[in-house]
Amino acid sequence: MRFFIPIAIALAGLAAAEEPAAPGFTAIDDALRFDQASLTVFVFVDTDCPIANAMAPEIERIFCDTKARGVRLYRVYAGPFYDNNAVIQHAADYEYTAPAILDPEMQLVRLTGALITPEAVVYDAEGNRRYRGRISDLYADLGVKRQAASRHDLREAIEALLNNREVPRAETKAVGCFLPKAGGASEETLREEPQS
Amino acid sequence: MSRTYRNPLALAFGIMSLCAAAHANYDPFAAPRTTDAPPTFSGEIAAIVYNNCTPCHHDGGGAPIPLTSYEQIAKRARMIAQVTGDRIMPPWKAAQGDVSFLNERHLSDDTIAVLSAWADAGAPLGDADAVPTAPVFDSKWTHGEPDLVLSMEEPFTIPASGPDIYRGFVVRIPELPEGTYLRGIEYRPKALLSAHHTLFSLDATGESRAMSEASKRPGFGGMESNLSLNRVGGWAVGSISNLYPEGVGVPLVPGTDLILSTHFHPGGKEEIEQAEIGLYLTQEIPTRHMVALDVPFGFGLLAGIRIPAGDPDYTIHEHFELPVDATLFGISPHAHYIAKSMHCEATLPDGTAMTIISVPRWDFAWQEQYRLKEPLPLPKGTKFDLTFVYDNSADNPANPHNPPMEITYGPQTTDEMACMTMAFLSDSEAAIDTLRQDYIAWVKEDIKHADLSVMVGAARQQRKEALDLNSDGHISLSEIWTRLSKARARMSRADADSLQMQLLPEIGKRIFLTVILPRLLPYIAVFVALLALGLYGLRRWLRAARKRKQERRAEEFAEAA
Repeated sequence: MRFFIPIAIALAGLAAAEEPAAPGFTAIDDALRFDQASLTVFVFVDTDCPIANAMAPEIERIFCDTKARGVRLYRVYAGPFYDNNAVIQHAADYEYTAPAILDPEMQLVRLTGALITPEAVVYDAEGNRRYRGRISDLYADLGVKRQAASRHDLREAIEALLNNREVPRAETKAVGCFLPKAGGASEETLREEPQS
Repeated sequence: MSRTYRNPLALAFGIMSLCAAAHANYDPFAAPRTTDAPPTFSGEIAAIVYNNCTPCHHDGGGAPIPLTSYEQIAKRARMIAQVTGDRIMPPWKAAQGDVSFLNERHLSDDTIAVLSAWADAGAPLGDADAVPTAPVFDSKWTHGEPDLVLSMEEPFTIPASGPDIYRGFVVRIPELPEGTYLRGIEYRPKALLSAHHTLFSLDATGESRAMSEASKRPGFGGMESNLSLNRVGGWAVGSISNLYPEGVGVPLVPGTDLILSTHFHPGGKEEIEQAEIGLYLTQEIPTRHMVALDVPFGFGLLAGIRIPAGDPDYTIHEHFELPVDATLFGISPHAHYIAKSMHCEATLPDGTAMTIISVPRWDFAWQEQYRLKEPLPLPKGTKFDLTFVYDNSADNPANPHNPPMEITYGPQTTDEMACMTMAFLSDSEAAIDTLRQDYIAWVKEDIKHADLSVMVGAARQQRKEALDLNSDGHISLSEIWTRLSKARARMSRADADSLQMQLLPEIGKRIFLTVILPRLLPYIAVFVALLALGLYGLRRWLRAARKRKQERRAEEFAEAA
């Protein structure tokens, strides 16, 4: 898998917009410079997915709690549905200060294999994916919300990695709204069919 | 959440319908499709979504995810296929049985297959020129301008995140001409992201207002039982109101407050709630009679609910027989978090069996009050069999305890209840009276055998909360005094004929004899023993004193001699 990630990153970098990102936004190729941070976290969100929005305060808290420790957390808006104004309004509505990435071509979706909003993917400074899945288990399934989360998987993963420990569960099932299908070669297909 | 009612007769009044009502149960694919070509938005999908989803899923419609254009709907094609396939949406918890309800929201298997095929095909648009126009929803009141429009007296802030909020709000109903009756209520929340459902009650005692005034924040906390409350309806996301059945009206006593028992689930951003409430009124004297019966009584008060930690299939059965001919027109199932299914079967005297309602996947979040599409006349002797099943295992994500712990009957949402409130209607006042009296006799028989020990812990907790009027965690003497004064006022104003007021003394007697007295017996025995010992000692001491006195006198006499 690790062999193919740089290829995907290079593809993503080539496709990335060259113009500088607007304030509050980060360009994909900047975000993909994994060696610039101890950990890079992509959290796929959406402006009108109720589960992603219900998680917004917790996503923002994780961003605030970890940014001083060298963690870069980005909100990723994947698909051709968003412009800068919609994302700025969304940040204002849900009090987000974490930087945003617009991913209209679904490059980060292909790279990370994310399927859901909200879903988090964590990379270490070497560009290895170390966690992918839910923020917490607050939602057991669609329409099944717990009274309170009993597992805070993204926090646990970040904490483990910052302390040079193994992530307790490197892959969990995210519950929320489907991301559009990325099409083309996603990280999933690269991993499963490396000969192609 | 849970309530007992001063006059449960009114419970079924506010039965609401839900948002698909305007286009009820539109299903263009009652028959299977015959073509292999993938469905398109213009061909099939727009009609399905616009009729079944968009009435709630539009800006201001109360549901998230607007579905008012091809772009919005195509973006959610896979989501729509998933949630309809899992029958999470449209939200309708009752399985299709022998009785139809107003405003049912079911999609046929074929319609769900079409939605799935469309998502699999990549959500094609089809003929752009043939796309139906999206419906437009105005903000008019469903039944025309209400006779009276009220609003919450103070705004209430719902935080961005945190646990669900259950809070009561008091709205004063201005003085109305004598002989005014309520015909129905329409509710318009402002906090569209977080408002989930609200139950409406009437309180003529002022007790809810006192609790609200004592609280530092708008409204009052908790969902404690309050005998003076008289539920008159409800609202849930996307609902529209139904007026009460023809000929039915709820009397509005001067000085009555409208109580809103609200449920909010924080949705990620702060919101302010100050809902509007439209009241539909009439001066016409009601011509039809009705009664709403809790089966089992008191939301399971007598059912001995004691669910062991880890038990995935704890079951309660209840049976009730109709003593007169009566027409069933509403049914409202109720339980709390860990209930997983409910069922009500009716067997007619001729042996015909029919499912009145079956909720195979109970969800506490959807407190539906079902109203029968066609009121169902049932003959005397009809038997109702009710089943409630609970999952108190760790595998139940709705379990509020981690790890699981024993759950008993109680008023908190983390306690449990079991009830279907059944609303009957009759042109004959005598028939309804017989039904009430027979129900009271049935409950009194139940009281004789009930295990009421589970009530004691719940009552202790409830009493503590009821006394702590300002919710500061401490109970002061003035709070106790205020509460006692209010309770006296409440009892004097309460309807002495109400089912609860007739049954409470029996329950109190049973609790004293079976729960309190056995617990007191050891103390009484020790007290009697100590008393006997004391008396014996006193007697001996008195005798000894008398003896000493006599001896002293004898000595004095001898010395004098």
